[in-house]
Parts: sequence; C-alpha cells; structure tokens
Amino acid sequence: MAEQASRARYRELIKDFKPDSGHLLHALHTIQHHFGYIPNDAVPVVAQQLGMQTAKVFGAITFYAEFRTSPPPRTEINWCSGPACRLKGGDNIRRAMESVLGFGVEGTTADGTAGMHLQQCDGSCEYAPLVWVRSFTGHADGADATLQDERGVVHGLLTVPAAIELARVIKSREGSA
Amino acid sequence: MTAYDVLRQQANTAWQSYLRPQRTRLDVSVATCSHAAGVYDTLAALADAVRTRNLPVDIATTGCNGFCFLEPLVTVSRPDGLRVLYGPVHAEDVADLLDQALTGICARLAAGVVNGDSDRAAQLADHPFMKHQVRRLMANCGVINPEDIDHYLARGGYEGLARAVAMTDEAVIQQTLASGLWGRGGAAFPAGRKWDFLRGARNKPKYLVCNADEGDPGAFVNRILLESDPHLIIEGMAIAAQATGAEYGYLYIRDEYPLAVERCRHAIDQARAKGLLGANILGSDLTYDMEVVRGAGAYVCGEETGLLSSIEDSRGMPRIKPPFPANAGVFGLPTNVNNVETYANAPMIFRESAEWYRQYGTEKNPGTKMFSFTGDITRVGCVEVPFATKMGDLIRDNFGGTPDGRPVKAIQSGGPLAGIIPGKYIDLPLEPEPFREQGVLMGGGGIIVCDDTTCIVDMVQYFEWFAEDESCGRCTTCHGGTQRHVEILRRIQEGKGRVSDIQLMELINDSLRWSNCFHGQGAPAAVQSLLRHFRDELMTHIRDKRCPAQQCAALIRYEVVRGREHDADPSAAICPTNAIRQHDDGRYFVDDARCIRCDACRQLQPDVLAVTDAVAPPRPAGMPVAAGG
Repeated sequence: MAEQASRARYRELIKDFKPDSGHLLHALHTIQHHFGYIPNDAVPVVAQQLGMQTAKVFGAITFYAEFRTSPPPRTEINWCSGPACRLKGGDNIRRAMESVLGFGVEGTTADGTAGMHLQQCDGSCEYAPLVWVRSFTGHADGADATLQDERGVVHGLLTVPAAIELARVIKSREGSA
Repeated sequence: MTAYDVLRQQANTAWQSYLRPQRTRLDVSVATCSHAAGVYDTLAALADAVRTRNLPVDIATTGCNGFCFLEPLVTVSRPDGLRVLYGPVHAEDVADLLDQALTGICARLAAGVVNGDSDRAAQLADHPFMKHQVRRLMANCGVINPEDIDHYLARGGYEGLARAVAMTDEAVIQQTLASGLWGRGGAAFPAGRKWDFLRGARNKPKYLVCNADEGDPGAFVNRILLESDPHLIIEGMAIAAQATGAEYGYLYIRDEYPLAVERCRHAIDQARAKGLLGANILGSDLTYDMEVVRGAGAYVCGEETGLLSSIEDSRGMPRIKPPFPANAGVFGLPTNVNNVETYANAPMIFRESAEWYRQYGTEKNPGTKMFSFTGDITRVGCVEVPFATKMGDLIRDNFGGTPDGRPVKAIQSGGPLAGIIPGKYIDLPLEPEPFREQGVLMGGGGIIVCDDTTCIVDMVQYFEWFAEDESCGRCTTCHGGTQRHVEILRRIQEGKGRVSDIQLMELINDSLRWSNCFHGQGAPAAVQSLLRHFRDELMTHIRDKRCPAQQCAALIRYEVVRGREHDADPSAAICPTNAIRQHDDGRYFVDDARCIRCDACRQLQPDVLAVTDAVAPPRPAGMPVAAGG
C-alpha cells in the first residue's frame, strides 16, 4: 500500500511533464526537491511519464553529481573544491574535517545523520576558503527552494582550527561515526 | 504610440519614484556572493531594527554590482535624491548604518556616492575598483531590482528588441556583423555569422540555446548577469530569434546557481506577461518563447553538444561534430548556442548602433568584456573593461594586488582546460590573441591569480583531477589520460616522482589531443604549462623530493620550534589526529606518523609550530637516483 501511495505521489508531482520535450531534468529535480533524493521506485514512474527506458533515466541520474539516490544526511558539510579555496588552504580544511568526522568526502556517519559532499565553486570566492552546511530537516513539500535552502549556512574565510571546531560540533550533535 | 512606448512610459513612472523615493529605501544586494557574506543576517537585523525603531524606511533588494569584496552591500536612497553605497554591512553594523545614514553619511561603512553629492564620502565612480571600467553590460547590476521588469524597461531595456523587430532578419544579422560581436564562451566565433547559419537552416522549428553552465571553477561573470540583470539575456535571445527565425529558446543554467534559476524564471514570466515573449512580440511578426533548464552538476555540459544532450532527456555526453548544431542541434533540429555574455551584448547594439558599440575595444575585438578575478588578490570581484585593457593594471589597481604584496607567480585564465601562464605575463592585454600566443586561452572571463605561496604542481594536479572527475567517459584518451595524469602528479607530490615521468606526461598529452570534444583536447593544457613554464619547480619535486612552496603534504613536516616545547597546549587541543604529543617531561613534539599536515597548529600558534622540508637537502650532483626513481 505504502509503495502504491508513493508511486501515486511521484505521478502527481510530474504529471505535467511530457515525452520528447526536454523534461527529464525538470522531472528529476522536482522529485528530488520533494523527497530530498530520487527514490529507486520513482525511476520507472519517471520513465513511463516521459516515454523513456528506465535504464536511460537511471543513466542520466548517475551522470549528474547533484542527483542523489539515497536520502541526504540531516546535516551535510558541502566542501568547496574550487581553486580559490584551494589556494587558501581548502584541501587542508578537507583533510582536517575528514579526520575529525571519521569519513571522507561523499561519506556519512554510520547512522547517516551527518555527511560530507564535494561541491563545485559558485564564485563566492571573496569568502574563500569556505564550506556550507546544509540541513535537510523538514523538507518543504511544494515550496520553491530558496537560496538559503539550497546553500544552507556558509562558513567563509575558514581557518583550519575553525573548520575543526565546526566538524567537532557537528559530530557531537549528530552522533558518532 | 507603439506597444513599446506604452510599456516604457509605465515603467518610467515606476522608475522615477524608485530613484527618488517618498521615504528612504534600503536596497540590499542579494546574490550568491552576498549569501556567503551573511546577507540574510543583515536583512533580518535591518527588518528588526526598522520595526523596533518604527523608522519610515523601506527595504528592497538589488543584484550584485561586482563589488563582491564589500558584500553585504546596502544602497541607501533618500528622498533628497542622495544615493550612497555601503559595505560591508554585517548584522552588527546595522545599528550604525541606521543611526547615521538616514540623515547624514555613515563614513565608516561608505563605499561611495552613487547619485548626488556629499562632502563626507567620495563618489563611487572614483573608487579604485572602478578604474579602467566601462560598464555597459553591467550598467544595471546592483542598480535595479532584478525582479522588477519596469526597472529594466525604464533603463532602456527592450528598446533594442523593439528596433530589431522592425527590421528584417537580414538587417539584424548585418548590424550584428557590423558590431564585430563574437562569442564570449571561449571560441571567439563571430556571433553574426553563427546566427546567419541558423537563419539559412531549412528545417523547422529552430531553437536558441543560451549556455549558462558557467562551470569553470573560480569564474562568475555569467552569474553576476543572470542574478543581477536577467532581462538583458532574455532580450538578447529575443533579438537573436528575430535574426534567425528561432521559435523557442532554452536558457541552461548550472545547478550551482539556484538564485539565477529563480530570477531568470521570474523574469521570463514577467516578459511574457508584458508581451515581450510569446506570439507577435510588440505587435510584430516575431513569435518566440523560452524556458530555463536547470543543470544537475556536470561540467562537460558546458561543451555545446554536451549541453544539447543534457537538454534532450539524457546524459550530458558531447557528440561528434559534424553535424553542427546549426543543422542538427536540440532534438536534431537547427539550433544556435551562445554564451550568456554574447546574447547580453545584443540589446545595446540595437538600442544604440554598431558604431557606438565599437567605441571601445580594438578593431578586431570591439566592445567590452566582463572578468571575474579571484585567488590571491585583495579585492575579489567582477569588472567590465574594454578589450585590450592590461591585465596587470586591473590586478594592481582594481583588485589591490596580492594580499601581502607578494609577487604574482602564475595566472590561470579560461578555466581548468586552458593552461597557466607565469606571473611575468601579468601585463598581457585582455583579448584572445595575446593569450593564444602564449599557448593558453583567455576564455570566458574567470581569472585566478596565484602568488608565490602557490605550488604549481599541486594546482596542475587539481586541474587534471577536475578534468578527470568531469570527463563524460566516452573517449579513452580523455578519461584514461586525465586519470594517468592525476596518478603521476600525485605520485610526484608524494616524493616518488621519476625523471621519466616528463616523457610520459608528454605522451599522454599527445594522445589526449585526439579526444572527440574540447574537454579532452583541452585537458593537456595545464600539464603543458607545467612542463613549459614551471619545469624547475617540477624537477625540484621529482629530483629533490622537495616542494619549494611547502604545500605538498608528503614533502613537508611539522615540528615544534626549539625553546617553545612547553607552549603547545592550544595546538595539541586543536590537532585532529592527536599528533602533537608530550614527552614525560612535558615537552611537546610532533608525532610525524600521525600528522596529516592540515596546518591547524601553525595557524593557531605560528611562533610555536614550524614547517620544514620532509627530506634532506638535495643529493650532490652526479649521484644516481634511487632504484625505481
């Protein structure tokens, strides 16, 4: 029953998208926006709606770095991999945070509550080096995502000690690795 | 009165009251850069203070004017006509701002006077950051509310489109050709000729695509336009539609720019509501509409055929050319792909004229170009200058040089696939040819400045990692070649480099050039720069196992400065791996096996911890390199 209900929900969300109209990215973004990720059982629903093979939809999902196939952690450190951050010690920040948290980029704690994600530069380089911390609690179903939702809280001009303190706070709040 | 005059007249009324408000208005710059600076805290503090003090003040938003280093920016517009830009205005500065700026000038925070005169603050136009600049594309950035089409209209917006729709498609192409506008994405192909290809295509419908997948890390010129003046791009695309007969357009924006997606979608809805998109635009025969497509994180979609694949419901894999997009683009139909800034130039060419457009720049490279500078500079931001402006003038004057006045060691323009030039080329004129002569690309406008604390081997390893990570995977030359580059460079960074690696990297570069698209073809550039311009530094890594900039983790170690062995308590507390340990007598030492070289201790206690080379000084000349080396 629950499975049927979620399928009906996917179908409802993407009902306006059509085959051969360039709607795949729209549909996938819509699903991810509402669920925080693209659940496995949403893939055939998208494929059916857009008249595509399931494999092709799945192939597209895995091609793009920002589509998720599992639920996001409650708290996620988005580490900026850009060159301006790197020039200012961004890679040192990554190594230090990974040591504190006990997992690497794209990893999570054992219970999945905290994670780290590699981000591409968005040009906020005046505050390099930076990470932004996103929180995925209580996804606002139906609402347009704002810059704040999408980007979370930016921790800019980070020193390595400050990054370590930040990782320690997140670790103590979100349980152990 | 024409349909355009009606729109313009309505807009003028709105704009006049915006410029000279009945009561003071605070325009807060909301853009991705201001978000990083904490603009939402500033906005909350402003709203709170205005409410509790019961001030007769309105709060509105604007875009970014390129002064990213002064974000969060607040423009105070008063009924007496005085407009002053303040920044950075953090939440804790709000009280000062409201105390002083509503009646006088808050000198501590003033960046410059935008409109009117004051003897207490300089004109914004005299700010060092404004030197050498000619703001045409950026004329509205930070000046108008990007979410209000009336502001755009009142500033001459859509006037170019109104003129273009009264012209034949051929005349529009002729005027574009006469302006000398060429594509800003990197290839520098004349826009008029590209548009003419699409005009001549037989199949219908025809499409326009705007490449706003600004993926070069460290570049943000397109973002400034998308977030701060979205109608400029919409108008430019509508003019291109008149020239080419395209009926529909896709504005493809990268996933990392959510605010740009939001503002462009909003702007398209507004334009449609005013009859500036849709059927019979401004009462003419032109029928054109468009939508925003949001990417999902794939650099290779910035390659034009990768972009087309991505729009068409699939993985963003670049295709084999020919056929070129003008014949078979989106959905196999004729398509024109241009960069954001290319389309954004069109409105002024038609609002003014081709001759007017050519007032700046050079014969070959007319007009202006936006550049974002980042890295080791004092003021990070975005400028617009005529072509052939000396890069060094901008770095020294506008961007305030390197933070500690250190020498510029290297400059990277045009993205990770474009190569790196040494600091001695700092005064290259900003136009494509001089860069090409040095074997690099000027590119889309993102420029990264590196001072002498930078390890070039590490930066090249980063660029190759980026190329590998973002390779679509089709060509073995590309995904395999970049992977090998990363392996070799990382090995060199670990002190296991071999002299034969040089030959190997040259071989990989030769094979990378046979890749299908520019991603693989451009991937050798960074390594080529390393071999050509920074060979000494590379050889020091390979032969001496030493990183001159002391950045490569495996080639450095940390130690407690002698005589300060009792002072390392804070460092021991911050160390994430407990590598700073105590002898029985309480003296601290660094346990090298545990140390991950994160630099936290030295940042905290620079006089207690020191970094040194991990290996002994170079062996005497003539001594053989160790086995395997």
